[in-house]
Amino acid sequence: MRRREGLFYLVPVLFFLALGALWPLYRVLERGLGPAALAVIADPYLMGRFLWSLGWAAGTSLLVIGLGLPLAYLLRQAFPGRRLFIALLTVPFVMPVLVVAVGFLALVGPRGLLGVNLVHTALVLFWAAVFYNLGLAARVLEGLLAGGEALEAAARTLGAGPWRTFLRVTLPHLRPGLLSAAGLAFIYTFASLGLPLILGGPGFATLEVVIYERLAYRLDFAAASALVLWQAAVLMGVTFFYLRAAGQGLVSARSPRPAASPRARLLLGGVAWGFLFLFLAPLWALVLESLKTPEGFGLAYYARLFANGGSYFVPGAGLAIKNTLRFALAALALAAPVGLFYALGVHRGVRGLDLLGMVPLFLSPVSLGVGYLLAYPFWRASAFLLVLAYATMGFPLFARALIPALRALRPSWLEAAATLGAGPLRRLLRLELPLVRPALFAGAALALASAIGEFGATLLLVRPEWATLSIAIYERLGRPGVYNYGEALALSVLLMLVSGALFFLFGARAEGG
Amino acid sequence: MLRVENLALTYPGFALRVSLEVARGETLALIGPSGSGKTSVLKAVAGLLPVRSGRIWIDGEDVTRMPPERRRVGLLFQDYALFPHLSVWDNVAFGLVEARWPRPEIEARVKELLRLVRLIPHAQKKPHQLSGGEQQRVALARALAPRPRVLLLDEPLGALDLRLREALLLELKRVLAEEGTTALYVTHDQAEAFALAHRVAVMKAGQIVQTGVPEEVYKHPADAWTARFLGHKNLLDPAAAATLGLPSGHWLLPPFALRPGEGESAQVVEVLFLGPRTGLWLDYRGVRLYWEGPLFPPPAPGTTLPLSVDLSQAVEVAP
Repeated sequence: MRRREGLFYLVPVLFFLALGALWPLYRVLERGLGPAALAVIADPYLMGRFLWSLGWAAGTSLLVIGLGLPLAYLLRQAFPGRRLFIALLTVPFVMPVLVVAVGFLALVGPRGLLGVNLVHTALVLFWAAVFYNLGLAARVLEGLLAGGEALEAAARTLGAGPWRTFLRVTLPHLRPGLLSAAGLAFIYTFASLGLPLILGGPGFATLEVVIYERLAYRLDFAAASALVLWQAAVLMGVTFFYLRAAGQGLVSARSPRPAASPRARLLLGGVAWGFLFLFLAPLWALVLESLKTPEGFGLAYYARLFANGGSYFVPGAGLAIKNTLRFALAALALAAPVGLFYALGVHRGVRGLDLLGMVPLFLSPVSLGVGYLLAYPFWRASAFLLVLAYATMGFPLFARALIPALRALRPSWLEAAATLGAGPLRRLLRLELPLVRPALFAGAALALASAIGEFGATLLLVRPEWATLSIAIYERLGRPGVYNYGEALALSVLLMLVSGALFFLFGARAEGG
Repeated sequence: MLRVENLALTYPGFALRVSLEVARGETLALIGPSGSGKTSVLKAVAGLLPVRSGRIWIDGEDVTRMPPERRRVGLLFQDYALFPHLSVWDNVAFGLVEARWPRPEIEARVKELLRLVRLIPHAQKKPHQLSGGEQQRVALARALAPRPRVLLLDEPLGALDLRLREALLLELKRVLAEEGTTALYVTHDQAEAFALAHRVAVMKAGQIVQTGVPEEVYKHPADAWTARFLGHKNLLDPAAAATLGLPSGHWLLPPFALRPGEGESAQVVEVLFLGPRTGLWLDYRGVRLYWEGPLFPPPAPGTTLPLSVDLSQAVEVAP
């Protein structure tokens, strides 16, 4: 690794990060450190919010691994439609947070399908957070379980019964997967604005909600900055813990265990698909409810969305879809090159780079918005601020899909290319990039999904003419009347379709490799 | 001792039916090409594969329906399956802890085995810090530690390079003899099986086609397929047999039936110089024959050399 080559990767990433995360973070530190940070601790209300945020995130982590492990065992078995099942199980993870929140309103809201109002309860918050994270956890654990089956067989022949084998071999083998699944669930829950803002109400407001309210309603930059720092400290600790745990876990795709008999296979399939039907209830309830209008079953809500064209404060569907796609694609155009430089630099062992890339992970969406408002008041009239925020959040996702693929390339391929006369740049273009193409698409899909569904930073930075689908939904939720509610449902379905379509467009290419 | 009676397993497109017996202290090698079902037999004996029909006895006890942990068999995995989170010492002690041995006895036994496989200096290392050969020896020590009634070995040398294989083959033979272990050894390498086992059983497509002591199986293979699998090159079809003056039928000329240096002249067609030995493809009365042995310097292709063929050593084989 030559010094100059290191700078080649380091400089662009550093420049982008300085703009997208470091300078805003510095401005937050400037405002929040000192008396403001201490005043926050002394305030019993804020302390209560802080503790509830920790409790919600930690409880979700425990639930996710507690439910994810049995689910992973189910995934290890062969049953009809297993591949599709696995794909559908991870759908919630790439769904925009507003789709999930409105989905829960459609299922268990005041006008919900089930007729039970669970909104403003802890139950619905835990349920929604688990809904988000369970599929991914189960997939990670399933891969680890598959890799440990030979070890389990060894333990059994050495005299350990099923329970002893689980305790002495399976559990230690799963440890990195359990820790990383728990860590990831914690991070996503702790930094979520949409779920507690819409489903929790004042009684279950989290730190993220409080930061947003301090800023949006009181313009209290000092308190907001201090809270951001407390939140970032927690996220930083958990992120380091998560990345350390995740680094040890290896996920391998293996064929499932054959079922004992055709009847067992069908039975397992019945259990699995029955579970999935219930698990995905918020999503299908959303679709169903969006079609139930006061005039009967039909597309009336959808028709209203496009007929009205919206007003200045209640943006229409056409504008919102256009904005969402425009900003997300612009963010991808920015996040992909930065993510590529970052991934290549980390892969080539540029010192300090991997640490630098974690900074965006400490900043929740609302924190990022606070930082931008402090750092770039002169850009308030430019939508570039939104794109910058999306790219800052998206490029680590892009890079993290890419790095394992780069590491999986056999060094002998690159050595062969070098002896055949290809220099570093030619090797990158002719060998590395074509070989990691599926990962490039997977990374792009993740970055796009995060940009399309982004809510927290958008809510702080948005101007009416830039309204995205998430904002258009949120605006309608805040207004009374069955038609606003119905339009929010219909817009959520549209957002679900847009993000689902883009994700699977890119996801299919990612699978193809 | 181990007795397997009419063990049957069926997969789509594949049916396995096997009976075999291994006497106390004996090593039986189960050999066959990949896909012949050897490993399935091993897993069934270990209890890792459910058995549809048939019976498995160990020391006179029917273990067919017993879970693996109660069978007291040892299994040496092809990829070793060492527990990555445990040290070498704790890997070897794993089965002893499960069998609730008292601590001093565990310590003595682990030490004894680590000494037996010469790994005392590595006791506190983690498996990933060891070389392939060392990992293999840890796996052997771990499988032997709880004094299994039967030791099952699944291609234990398969993942190692040639030089290491020879060294470990001798070590394995010594350890099995010292422990007096009853062993079932699965491999696709007939030389490994001949060198290690008291008896060999040849498997083809889910059936055992021949069982016997290595010399006997090598000299009198059940059929032409088995002969070829065991490394025989000089298989004569009826036409070639007639040319050489043998009665009509399929015949096998074992390597020791050919003696260069005397007799009729044969033309050298191809020469394989292997170092200590030389392999020659010869044209003898229009029949292609292979001979391998110490010969230096090797003859050039196209030259002739005298060759005597002892037809009394020829063995008739089923086609």
